[in-house]
Amino acid sequence: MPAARILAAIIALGACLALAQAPLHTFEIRIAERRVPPAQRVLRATEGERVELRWSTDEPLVLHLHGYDIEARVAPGKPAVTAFTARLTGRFPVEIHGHRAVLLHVEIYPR
Amino acid sequence: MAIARCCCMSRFTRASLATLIFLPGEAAAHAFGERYDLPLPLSLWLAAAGLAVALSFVVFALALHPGASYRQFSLLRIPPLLVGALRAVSVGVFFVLIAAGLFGTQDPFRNFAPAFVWIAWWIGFTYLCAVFGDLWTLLNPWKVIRPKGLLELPAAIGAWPAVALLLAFAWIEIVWQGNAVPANIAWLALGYSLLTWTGMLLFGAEAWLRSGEVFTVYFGFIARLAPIEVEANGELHLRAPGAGLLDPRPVSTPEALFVIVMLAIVTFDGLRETPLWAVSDAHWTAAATIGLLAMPCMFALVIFGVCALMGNASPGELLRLFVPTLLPIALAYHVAHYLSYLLVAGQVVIPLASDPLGRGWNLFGTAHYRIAAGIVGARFAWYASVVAIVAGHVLAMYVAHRLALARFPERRSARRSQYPLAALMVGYTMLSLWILAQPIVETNR
Repeated sequence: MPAARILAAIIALGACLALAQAPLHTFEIRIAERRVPPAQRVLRATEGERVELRWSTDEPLVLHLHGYDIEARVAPGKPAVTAFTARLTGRFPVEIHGHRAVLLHVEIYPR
Repeated sequence: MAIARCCCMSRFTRASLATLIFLPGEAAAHAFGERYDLPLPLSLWLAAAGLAVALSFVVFALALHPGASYRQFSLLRIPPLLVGALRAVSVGVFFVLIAAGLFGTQDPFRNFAPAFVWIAWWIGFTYLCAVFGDLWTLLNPWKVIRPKGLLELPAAIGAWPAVALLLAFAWIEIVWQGNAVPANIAWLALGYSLLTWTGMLLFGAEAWLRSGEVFTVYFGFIARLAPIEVEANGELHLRAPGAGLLDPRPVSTPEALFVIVMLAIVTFDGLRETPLWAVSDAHWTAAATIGLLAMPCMFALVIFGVCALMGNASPGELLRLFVPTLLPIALAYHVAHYLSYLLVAGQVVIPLASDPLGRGWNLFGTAHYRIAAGIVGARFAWYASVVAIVAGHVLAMYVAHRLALARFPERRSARRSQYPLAALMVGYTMLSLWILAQPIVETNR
């Protein structure tokens, strides 16, 4: 009964999406020498999305997302995730703690 | 409107970087000074630009009547006792500021002085004066003494000292990397007090307030837009917004230059956050200093050129007559640029008022207030910007039109005089909108 299975899979998938409600927006970010690749200096998402910033790094760092005020501790071999629902719109810097250096900006656009 | 700051906050950031005084504070302290603005989207940019141009034609088509006088209604007179009390509070805040700067923590994020001066006062008080009139004339802490003066201020000096001081103040605000260090703010305030009182003692309080007290001149021009006229004795009059710009007497040459510097420093402050202004850290100070001085010169040249095209009167006289009519656009752009910043970053004054020196006090029970970053969102910032700029543009055109009808006896020459000025205003409005549509660039990366 492959057809039934496919149907069941589609229903299950639909249910999952409905449960998740908000679409998930993930970013894989590799920090090297306290910098990210130029293409990742600005990350864009839309209001209402669930956003996950998945960090990996070459040295231990504490990252701080302004506006949402979320901290993440990341170290070599110990990736970290900054997860939040994009309720605030605007342009929010992620800073490396203690260095006052802006690593990147997260831009949340209104729906 | 020197309104300032590569993101005031990144101004603060840069300052703290420069002085290496960052102390890891609480997470709430972090939000201090950040700007969360998104660039204006193209669709809104087009809508605003289209509206500004279309409404310009409406102003042209309006059958305006000559006459630059305006109606005003006397509201009430603030009792002298209350005026005295307000000034006493103002002097008290001034002392807190000095004490915080000299004896408080030198972390700009935990000290009352930087947030109060750069956000609450320089931005917030500007808006208060634009709405409620010249409150500075009531609150000016330096007016606690009113000496008669020993000498007559030479007429040639006029408001030139105020022009020089405004440029100096703008340099401190926009360029100088030490501007967020609390002790620097306290010493500057003390130095400026010395200068102001010396000027008052030499030339008399009233003369110096008009020629050398830069904030009296500045807030005085801002207050011309206000629907309330505040007199120094506390009398209040109601009038149409912007009616204060209908004064048919041209301002003096230094006053016209003062206004041009006001316009230029707001624009320069916005421009340096755009990708156009890509200057490395090593050259930041020199480049910004040159830019800050070049911008008013460019503005003056362009405005002078426009006035030369306006008709049969000397360009200099027309410039002195019409330059204040550009103020509504400058203030509108200022609001577009800073309003959301003031509403979000300005909240930092609430906790700092309870602990001005950063010593762990809680005088008013607000020390643990956390900044609500969500109080305004991108959509609010966008629509507020568009409404402010279009309204400022229309008000500027309307006022200039009324002034032209009073200045030129014939309706036709009055109208002809307005074509170059209208083109200038459209250009200025477009430039302001264009800056808002640019992504903010961090210069300290």
